[in-house]
Amino acid sequence: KYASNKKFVIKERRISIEQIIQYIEQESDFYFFYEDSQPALKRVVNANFEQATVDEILTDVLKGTDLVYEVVDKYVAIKKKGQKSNAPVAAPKAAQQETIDVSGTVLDEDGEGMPGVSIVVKGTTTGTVTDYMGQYTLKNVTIGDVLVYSFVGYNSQEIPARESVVDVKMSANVTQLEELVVVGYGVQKKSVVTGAIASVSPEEITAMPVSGVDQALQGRTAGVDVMNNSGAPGAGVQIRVRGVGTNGDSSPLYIVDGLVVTSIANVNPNDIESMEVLKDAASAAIYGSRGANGVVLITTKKGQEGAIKVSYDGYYGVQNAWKTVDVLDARQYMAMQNEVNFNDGRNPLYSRYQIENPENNTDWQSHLFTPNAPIQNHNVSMTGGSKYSTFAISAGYFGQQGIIGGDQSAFDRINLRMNSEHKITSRITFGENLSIVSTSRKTVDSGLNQSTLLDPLTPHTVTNPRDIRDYDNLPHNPVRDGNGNYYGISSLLPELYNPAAKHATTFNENFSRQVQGNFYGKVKIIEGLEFKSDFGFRWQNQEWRDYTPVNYLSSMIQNPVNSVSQTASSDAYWQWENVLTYNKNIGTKHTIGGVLGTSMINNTIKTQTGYRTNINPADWNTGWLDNGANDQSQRTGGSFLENRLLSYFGRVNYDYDERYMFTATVRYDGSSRFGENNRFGVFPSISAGWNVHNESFFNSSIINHFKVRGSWGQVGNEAIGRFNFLSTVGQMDANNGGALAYPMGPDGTPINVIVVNRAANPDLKWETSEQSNVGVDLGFLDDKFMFTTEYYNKTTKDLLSEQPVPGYVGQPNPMGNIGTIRNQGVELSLNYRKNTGDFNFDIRGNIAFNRNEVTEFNNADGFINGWRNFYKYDGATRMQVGHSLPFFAGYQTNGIFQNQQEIEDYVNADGQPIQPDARPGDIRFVDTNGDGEISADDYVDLGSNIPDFNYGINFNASYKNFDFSMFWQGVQGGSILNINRQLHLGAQNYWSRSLERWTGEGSTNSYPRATQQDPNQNYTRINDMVHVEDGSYLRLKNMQIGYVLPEHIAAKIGAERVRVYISGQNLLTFTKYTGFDPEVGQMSSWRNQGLDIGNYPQARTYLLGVNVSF
Amino acid sequence: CADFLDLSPTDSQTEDSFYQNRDEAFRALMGVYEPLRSQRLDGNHYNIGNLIFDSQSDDAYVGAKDAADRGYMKALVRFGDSRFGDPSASNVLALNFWTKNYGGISRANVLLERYDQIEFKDREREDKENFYGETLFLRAHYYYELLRVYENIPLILTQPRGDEWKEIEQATPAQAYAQVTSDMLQAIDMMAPTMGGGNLGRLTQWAAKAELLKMYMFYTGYYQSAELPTLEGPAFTKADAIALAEDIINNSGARLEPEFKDIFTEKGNFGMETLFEIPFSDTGISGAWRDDALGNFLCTMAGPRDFTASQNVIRDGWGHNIPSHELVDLFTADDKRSSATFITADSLINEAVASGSSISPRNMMSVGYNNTGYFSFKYTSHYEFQTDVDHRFNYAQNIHYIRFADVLLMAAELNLDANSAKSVQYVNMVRNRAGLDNLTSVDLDAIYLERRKELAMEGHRYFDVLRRGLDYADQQLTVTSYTLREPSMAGVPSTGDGGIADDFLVTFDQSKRGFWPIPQQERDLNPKLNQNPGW
Repeated sequence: KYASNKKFVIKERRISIEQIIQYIEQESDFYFFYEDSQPALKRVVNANFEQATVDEILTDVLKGTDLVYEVVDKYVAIKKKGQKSNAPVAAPKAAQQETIDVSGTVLDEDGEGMPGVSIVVKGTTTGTVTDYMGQYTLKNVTIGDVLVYSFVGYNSQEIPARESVVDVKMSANVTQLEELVVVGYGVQKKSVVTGAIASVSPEEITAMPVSGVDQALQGRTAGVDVMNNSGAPGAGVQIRVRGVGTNGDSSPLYIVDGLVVTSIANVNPNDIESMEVLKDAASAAIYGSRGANGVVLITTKKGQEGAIKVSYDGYYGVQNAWKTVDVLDARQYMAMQNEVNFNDGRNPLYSRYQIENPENNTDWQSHLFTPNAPIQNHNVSMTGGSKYSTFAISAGYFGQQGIIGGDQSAFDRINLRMNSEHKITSRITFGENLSIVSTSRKTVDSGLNQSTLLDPLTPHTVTNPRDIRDYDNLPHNPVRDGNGNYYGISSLLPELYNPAAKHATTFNENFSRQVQGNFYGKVKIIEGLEFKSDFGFRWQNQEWRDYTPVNYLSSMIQNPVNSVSQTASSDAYWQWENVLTYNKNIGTKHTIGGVLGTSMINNTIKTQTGYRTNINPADWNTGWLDNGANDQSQRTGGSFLENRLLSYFGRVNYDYDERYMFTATVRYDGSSRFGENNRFGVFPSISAGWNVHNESFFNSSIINHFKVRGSWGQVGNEAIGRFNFLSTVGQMDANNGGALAYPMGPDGTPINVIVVNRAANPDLKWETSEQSNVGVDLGFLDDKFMFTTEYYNKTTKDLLSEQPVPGYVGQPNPMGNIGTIRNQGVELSLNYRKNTGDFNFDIRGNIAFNRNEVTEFNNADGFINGWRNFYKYDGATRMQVGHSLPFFAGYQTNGIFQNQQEIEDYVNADGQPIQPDARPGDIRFVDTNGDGEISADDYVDLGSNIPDFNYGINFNASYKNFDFSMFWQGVQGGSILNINRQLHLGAQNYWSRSLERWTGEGSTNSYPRATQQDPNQNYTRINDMVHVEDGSYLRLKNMQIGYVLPEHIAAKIGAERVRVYISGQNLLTFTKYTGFDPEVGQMSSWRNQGLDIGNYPQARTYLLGVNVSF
Repeated sequence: CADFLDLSPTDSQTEDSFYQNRDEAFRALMGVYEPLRSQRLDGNHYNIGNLIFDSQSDDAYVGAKDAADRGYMKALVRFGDSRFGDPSASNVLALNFWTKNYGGISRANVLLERYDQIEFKDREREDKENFYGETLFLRAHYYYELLRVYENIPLILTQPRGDEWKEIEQATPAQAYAQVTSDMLQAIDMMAPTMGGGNLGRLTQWAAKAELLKMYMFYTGYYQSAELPTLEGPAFTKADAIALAEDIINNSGARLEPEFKDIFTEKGNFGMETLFEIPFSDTGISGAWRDDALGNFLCTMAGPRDFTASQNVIRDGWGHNIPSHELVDLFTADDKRSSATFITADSLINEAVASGSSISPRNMMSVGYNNTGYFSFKYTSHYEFQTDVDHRFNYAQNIHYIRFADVLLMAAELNLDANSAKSVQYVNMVRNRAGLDNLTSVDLDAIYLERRKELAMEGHRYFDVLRRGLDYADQQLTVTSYTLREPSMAGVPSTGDGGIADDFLVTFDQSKRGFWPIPQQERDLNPKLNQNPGW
């Protein structure tokens, strides 16, 4: 029997039986006979065949249908059960040696003649090509020979020659067997991509319960770092592609269906068809002055021709804090306070009796975290279409409450989307993508600091009648809980508040309503040449409301008058892009393509704010401006900002036989943000690739895929603020915000003043990032192993910063292009998959090493401080030549002074003690500059939050109807500045690390004595002993177990497929970090990166979910 | 499409398009005034004149919560005492006070440079002259602030553009004082003699005359010079100073407020006694630790720490600018100024108990650093200035920077040699108002004692001490031993001295000559600047 042993690999979700048959035909000499009208052939199955024969495949896929098959030699007939074979199988035998002339027309999907289609007699070199009308004639074809019709981008068709007129309709290659990658303004076959582009699959995006798509990127691709700003619902993330590339805004450019968006946090994860990250400059250069920090491209799901499909995906879960930090209990606290007072030369505060019989022993953290905060997501989508119109519609809801503050800390989102496309004529297509998003968010102060620093002697709520009487007499309302009890107020620590009381007096909400989308028309001018005009828009309205009731949280933190503020902003954006695309095959081996386009962008932002006090009635529900007093306290504000971009861009690409690939792009970008002398910039790139495995000389039974590629390009960063090049005058305080005024007249009426708030710099321009990239892709054993590695060298120059001028200039610093940062790195990813019948699994791992260094900084100091002197800490985050951006600048320690002699022996060149105020038990600081004293000039690099490497490991397995997945993510080598502990408040509680303090000569050399006066500033000089900690962690981000219900059960509810799953997030964390969570995020800019000041931690989540398709 | 990208800012004008007419000139002039009342609350650097300079003298301590709280300020006003904070030239307060004054100077320079392009209408001729005079005077005032604090400063009279700042060097004190003196003299000619109505808050020629007199006293004292230099023409001599003092006393219209205590109440705002007044306002602003809160933050700073038991007299504050016992003890029992200058923890607690507070007296207020049981009652969180909206930002108590009494006492000092009867007369005017007997003769120490009591907690003492020479300053300011005072109410620590005796010790460092360091940042950026001796 012919080829009955031929084995096939077909692994495809949601593939029709017909497509499987077509695939077998394409991959072998089998030839199928069947009636097109058999509905069962349209049935969609999940194909999962590893080295299966035709028999095995057909047995499996036809099971449960009314069809049977019969194989005769290379001919396969599929027919209804009990029906007699329609017996064309006999025909070839009868027709041996007879020849005919075959002619006909090859049509595309629209019924138009297709020129240039090649027709070859299979197994020979005999053939022809269709003419411009799509017509062909092939003479002397032996009956029974198979004719192969092929055209790039279309499914090849094989038709046995039996009749003299054969009209063929070609269909575009829609199977996923040839993977496509979305690139800027187009798509490319993955096999010919030459840049560094990472794709994230929709399955990965929806695997975890995340509020935003951006969060789902974490750990999925090498070189894309995702840091959660906070665990608070809706808090958002920071994405860095290949390191921190600038001291300004390092966020990548986000593009959804061609539309530039400011954030992808509100894209519904269920809507995503594909997501790509353009990492190298060559890939991003088509986006010119906005591509310096990488580009994230999202394409949403489109409709398919065919029956309407409906699916529901949803989950419900609960979240809990995964960690509390150890702090001293009441007894330890009082003992420690006595020791502190003793060390500071004061009398002890607590008697032995008091210590042994604490009045209270409050565990503040237990009152802080809300147990089982809910999280849920529901999404319904529907796709379908006819030959002329296709659509995809979805509606989704996501809701999450916080693990701190419960429903005071909540995020809700509703997403609606409609994408559709319509063929108006065979040449003209019109379509649109529309999305509506509505979100609401409430936030609270995390209170984490407070919960670890408040003394345990203060009760959570007050029950002592004497205290209640005191509280009743306070000047404003102390806060009561739901049972009418006053929340405890620490009499020892007026600078802190009871977090529960604070949450109970926190009222705010933020609404955002966003409509965005694009309308486009496409015209096919001639074959291969298409013009597309695309108008995109984005309107976003946001409203904030904040109501502060009268309250008394402590003697220092109180609010005697209630107030409300309302803010509204509207962000209107439009872009109009016109793009000409050309693709052509010349002969069978040359493929050329080109893109030429223009883009215009306009963005305006308006805001209005209002503020009033004395709201009456005083309540959140009536907390609106109109209900406030009409007095001097009312304030309003408003602003209007606008910027524009005008661009021209082009790309050419060429490949020869999928062996040699070459691409070049250029963009000419003008921006209203740039200085008069540098309004337009040119951003070029080139890249090339070589598919070694397609060479005839390459013959390996192990390596089946081997591609080498390289690229170079320049991209810009235009996110440099507006009008920074002008010298402006205005009433804003450039140092500090707020309108400057001078009070005039007997009533002190504020007169707004006008001052110069910036000096001019007409030469100001965008930052330029120049990047080279080399990559290798390898596939082994039929792609069982796939390996990709990249090396890049990215230099961002002309960094924008304030150019420091002396204070005696008397004006705020002008902006200048004054620095350079280099990011160099290696990225590796390795995938392995194994499919053995019922059991399948794959592992995907990635790891990225990035070295970040500031190589030039042209101010007098050679550095700038980011954050400095927070609270009373003497230390900074800093940007400095020769260091990574940022690093922690502070004091280097060298153990503890064990006795007075050691202090006296630690002298400078003049024999004077270097730390005259130290006492035994204090830290010995290193006088790094040797000037004989310890000061800010002794700052050293105490480490950086930037890790040595980031990694992610994803494991998926399935056995019959069960599936299992596990996702680990980690960073290694970054540091965290833990200033949660705030070690300068007098009566504060301490973390249990303080139990390891120095208590006498020889007790320890690694943690200083307990003191509040702290004349040596052990606790307020940022140093490597007390403050800086290793931030490495490895975290089991997600684990999921799913089960696909047997079809007959699913069928009972009318569903095609039903999958249920349970999933857990943040189940395990391995870290040495002592704070609440090593994912401290970085809060908007490098200036605060790696600072833990009581960040809202990530939650541990358990949830139950279901996916149903009908 | 070419002009598609031409946008103009919508949140500001450009420097070239501004400065066109009288109203714009007025806004710019207000910009020159603004640093007068700016307390630069950004980044916790409370840059408040009286608080800083009284704490640098023997009248007061910085106070605050503990040694580290406001440690940078303590380190600076205690002549580089490293117990508290950064004692080096990098001290952030040294930088902030510097940049605040140079900010005012820059605004003045830009306005003066643009003055010719401003179109004043005919009826605005007076404004044209007055605005110019006020701008010139304010620039001189900011320079004088810098000179008496840093001594060796760059003298900048046109706004440096581009890289021009790189070429700037320090002027000698004599050069700088000459410029400032000449500017003040020119400004006096151009400024209005009175301001009223909606213009209250702008300065008159009498303010300029009074400050010129103060500057004469400081310069001739500190530099042991007979006269104040000018740019051209004759120097400003002692005879000129005496004539100026007489002019102010006789012609300014200012006179002593009959009741001393009224000066520091609402009645005192724009009262009869003040020649140089710095206005503050209650704009009801909330939550703003920034310069757009127009209240007098000194009030909150000086109020008793955490005192909320009663609000009838005073509201809670942060316990700064704590009066020393040395100062308090100078007042005799019959001196009416005593109760208007200080308030005791003791009396506040008693008042709170009397008004029914159930809080235990020992918990009514915190014991801050250098607690003495006394608080200033001049600039403080007076209940009568309080507002319902965030009171901390909204004390509308003006600073009476130069009072008539100050001028009388300077006149007494000037006349001491030539016309001692006049000296006695002026001192007695001040004493009588305080309810004290006439003196029959006075000497310099007697006048100094009267100055110290009359002007206590108003920010003058440190410079008065300094102008009698470094030995005198050392003798006055250095404290080598201290005995802690027990609480006046048993068991209520806030009514006595807090901390340990060491906390009250002070060492005046003569090598620093009483001046602050040139901020390190300035020298890093411009190596042509020299550091002051001792730093």
